[in-house]
Amino acid sequence: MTLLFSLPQAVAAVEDGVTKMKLDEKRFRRLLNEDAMAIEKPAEGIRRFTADIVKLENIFIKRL
Amino acid sequence: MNFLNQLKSMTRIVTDTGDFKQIKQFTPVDATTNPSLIYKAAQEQSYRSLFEEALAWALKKSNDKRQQASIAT
Repeated sequence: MTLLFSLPQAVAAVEDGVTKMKLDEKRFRRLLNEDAMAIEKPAEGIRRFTADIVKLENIFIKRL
Repeated sequence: MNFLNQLKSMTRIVTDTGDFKQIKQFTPVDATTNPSLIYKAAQEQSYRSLFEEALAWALKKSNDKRQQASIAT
């Protein structure tokens, strides 16, 4: 499948009324998966949060 | 600061921080934070008393060291 649009572009195009696109679940998931801000970045952020919680706990442990 | 005031006239300002001084400085309508920001703020000398307060509170909640650290966090 050739990707003509990223998901945000696709949404914008549809909202503009310029383009009509059929968005079934398969296509939606494919487009969503192309978006790093929707897929990789949140996971990366949560991993960092977890690491920082552990670091903070370790600071407390050192004080106990 | 002028640009911020300009923004404030058009939209609502929220802060994403662990630093209370910044919240005071920027007077947001709402505020959010995350564990990384809290970790950073917890190491700041000026928030030492909050760190100690959390620790003292946690000590009352559990006898287990690991659990105390988790509760304090």
